[in-house]
This record gives sequence, C-alpha cells and structure tokens, in this order.
Amino acid sequence: MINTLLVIIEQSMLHLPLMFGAYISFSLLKIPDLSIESAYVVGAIFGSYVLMGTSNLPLIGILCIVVAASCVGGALVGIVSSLLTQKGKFAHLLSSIVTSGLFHGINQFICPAYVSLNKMDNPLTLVNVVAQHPELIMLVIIGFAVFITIYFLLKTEIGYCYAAYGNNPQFFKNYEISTSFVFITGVILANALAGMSGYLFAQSNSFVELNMGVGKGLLCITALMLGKGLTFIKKSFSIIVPLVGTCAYFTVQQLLLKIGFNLKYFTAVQAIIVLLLLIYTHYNKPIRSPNDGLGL
Amino acid sequence: MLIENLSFKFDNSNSSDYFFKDLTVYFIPNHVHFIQGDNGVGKSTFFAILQGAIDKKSFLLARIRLNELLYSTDNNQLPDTFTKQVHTVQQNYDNMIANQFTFMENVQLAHLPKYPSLKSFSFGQAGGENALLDSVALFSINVDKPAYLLSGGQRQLLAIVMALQKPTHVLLLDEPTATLDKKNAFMIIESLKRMAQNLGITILVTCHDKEVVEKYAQGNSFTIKQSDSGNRTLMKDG
Repeated sequence: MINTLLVIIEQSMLHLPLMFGAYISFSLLKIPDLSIESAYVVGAIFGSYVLMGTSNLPLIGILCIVVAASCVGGALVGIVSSLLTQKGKFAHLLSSIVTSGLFHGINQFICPAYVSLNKMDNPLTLVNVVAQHPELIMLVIIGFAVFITIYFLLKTEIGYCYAAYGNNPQFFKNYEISTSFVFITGVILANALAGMSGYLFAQSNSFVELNMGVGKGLLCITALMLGKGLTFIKKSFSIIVPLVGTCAYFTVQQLLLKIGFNLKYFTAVQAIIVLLLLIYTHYNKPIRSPNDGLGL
Repeated sequence: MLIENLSFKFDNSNSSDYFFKDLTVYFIPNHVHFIQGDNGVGKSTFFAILQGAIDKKSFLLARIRLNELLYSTDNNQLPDTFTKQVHTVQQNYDNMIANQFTFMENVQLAHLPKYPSLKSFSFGQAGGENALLDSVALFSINVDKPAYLLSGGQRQLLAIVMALQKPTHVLLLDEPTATLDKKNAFMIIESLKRMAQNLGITILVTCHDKEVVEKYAQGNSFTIKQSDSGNRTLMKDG
C-alpha cells in the first residue's frame, strides 16, 4: 500500500510540470496545443545531451543546468508553434501539428531512436532518503518549486492575461495590450514546462526514446478533466486543478494495475473517462454559463 | 472637438469618389452627441477615421482641434497622439469583456500596459474612478460577480468603464442601446452624460432609437446623409 502511494507520488511529480504546462495552454489559453508532445521529447533530448557534457560538476550543478536545458528545449518548440500562429496567422491546431512534424524530423536527425542514460550521473538522486525510490525526494522538491512558481505567476498581470485570452481572444486588442505577447509567452512557458517533464521522465527511466511523447496530450486532457471534476473550483482559474488532476490520474492508473489491468489498454480508459466527463458536463451545464472552450 | 475640412475616400487614386468631402463639424466638449443615419451610410466609417482604423490605401485629409491642440493628417493617417485619446465601445460589447472574470477584474485587466509584466495583479489602480463608482451605484452592480452573470445593461456599462481605463478624451459608442430595453437604455445614456461631465470627455453615440435621441440630444444630434453627388455630409439636426 505504502509502495503504491509512493509510486503515485513519484509519477505525479514526474508529470507535474507537464500538467502545469498543459493547464496553461489547454485550460487558461484554451488552445489545442498538441506541440507539448514534441516539447516533451525535445526537452528530454536537450536535458540528456547536456547531462552527457556535465559529468565533472557536482550533482546540484548538473541538476540546475540540465533542468534549465530541458526547459530551453521545450521552449524552442513553443517559440516555433506560437510564432507560426501569431505571425503566420494559422490556426494553432495547424501550427502545433506542423511544429510536431518539424521537430519529429529534427529529432530523428540529431538523436538515435533510443539513448540510454544508465552510465550518466543521476542528479535526481541528490537527496536519497527512500531506498526503493531514490529520486522521490528530489522530484517532490522540483514539483514543489514548480508549483510555487506557477502559483505566484498566476497572481501576476501576465498570469491573469493567460486566463483572459482563453476567455476572449479578442479581448486585448480593445485595450492596446499585445495579444501576441500574451499568446507567445504563454505557449513558450507551457512548452518549457513540458520539456522539463520530458527530461525528468527520461532521467527517471534512464533512457530517451523518440516516441516517448506520444499520448501525453491525452494524458493531460484526462488529468485536467479529472482535476476540474474533483475540485469544484468556481474561480476563473486555480492552480489546484492540475495538481489534483495529476494525482487522481495516477491513482486511477495504479488502482487498475492493482486489479491486474494491462496498462497497454489504458489509453482506452483515458478516452472513456474524458468522454464520461464531457457528457456529464454537457448535461449539467447551468443555463447561464461562459464559453468554456476546450472544456478543460 | 472641431473637425475641419475632413476629406476621405477609400482608395488613394485620383478618382473623385469622395466619401466625405470638406466636412467641418464641431462637437461640444464634455457633452454626449448622437449621430444618426441609415444603415450603411457611413457612421462606422466616420468612427473608424477618428480611431485611426482605416485602410492604409485610403485617402484622408483632416485637421482636428482637441483640447486646444491641433492634429493634422500625415500620410493619410491621423497622428497616434490623437487616435490614442479616442476609444470605442463596439455594438457587440461582449467582445470587450472576459466573461469569466468579475466586474472589477475586467476593469483591472483593461488597465494593463501593452506588455503585461510579472507585477502582482492588484486592484486599486483602475482609472476613471468617478465613472466606476457612479456606474456601480446606478446599476446596482455586484462587482464580485462573473461578467457572464451580469445583465446586458450592466455588461454594456462594464465595457464603457473598461474603455475609459486608458487616457481618453473622445469616446465613441456604436449603438449602445440597440440590445437594451428602454429602462436600461435610458440609464446608459444618463451614465454617459455624467461621465462626459465628470471626466471631461467628448462622447459620440450612433443611435437609431428616436425616443432616446429626442430625450437626451438637447440640440446635440447629427445626421449623416448621402448627397446627390455621392459624398456624405454630417449635419446638425434642426
């Protein structure tokens, strides 16, 4: 039981930055930002490559540098997709699909299909207290740091603007506020967080694999819908949603494992959860309710 | 605000198809003015000219005196120093509101700079306080309610207050009473009159509602008409 709980915490912390990123793009900006799947992989590649070049540094130094590098990798994807949308005037769904295709090709070119990190230093073991889960404490510390950062970010001018954009993308042009600035910084931040999660996942599993981002979009949508369904938040936005959603998602996953469910069918479970929540939301919508965009 | 010899046409060619030709009109400061005219006659175009929102291929020549300063067109455009003082409330005012945010949050959002920063999003910096407090009291607005739960009149007023969050000397309203019942329509115009006086702004309102115009124009109503030559004229009624 304790071990299951620790696994849920560990998995939740690994995915927490990704979930905050998805929360910013899917729930606040309300855009179908599929490029987070690419950002996840590019972040893992950047982090892993930088890790290979930092073997002589102390673990804390390595950790800071590789996490920063993974964020840069993810942000790079965000820069491309957001610029395509804002400057190229494409729909963001199209921009993110084009960006994903672009980076998938680049990844194939710069990185083998599988990169092992087994022989590298593991900076996530910097604080090793729980023997069976040597990375747990560092993952909790990183997750907490990301939580605090996003918590304060969403109390700032730009944080409110992300939510306002999702509410009404036409809003800012009426008040001489740069819509492009709000959109681009939001997408970059979301993708940078996805990149960080990609590295954490790669480090925790000791490998980078070029298809590791597949299905992360659905994971995020499922977790965010669970988070929204479980929190009953009435405010226009709340940082609790992605946190609760991630924990709920991995709790469901571990419970299914406990009863012998084969996780290769788990995407079907995710799809059913999303479908049920969408149907429930549709039939329980108040008569006067705002446009909820993607429903996240 | 005195508009002198305004000439406008949609293309910059040598054609003589002027939309407005040598239009001169005076709007009294701190007053509400009504602009009437048939659909498609040019009310929106007139507003677009004042906002600086016309196509760059258009021809525009004008001089505008506002608050004892003279603004002249340069390269077919009114200078930014003028157009930045002009704000508009669209007919579809919901486009100007973030519906899930409260009245106060919306007002605060409208107050943000061009590039929102990492500064804390705090209340208490909103401009046009008189207009804000006056409106909240008149319309009995619960400022902590999300905007989508406010009535049409309250949302219209919210859009007006938000438009006033940036330095404004001229406020343009496109059919502000079109979707409102009589009571709310009258309340909106009453609010506008008070705002014009208290904030020292010139307000231009396009309006098809004869009853509203008769009740509130007090000599400040104008009509845009198309002359036989095709040009539009903006004449004071009566």
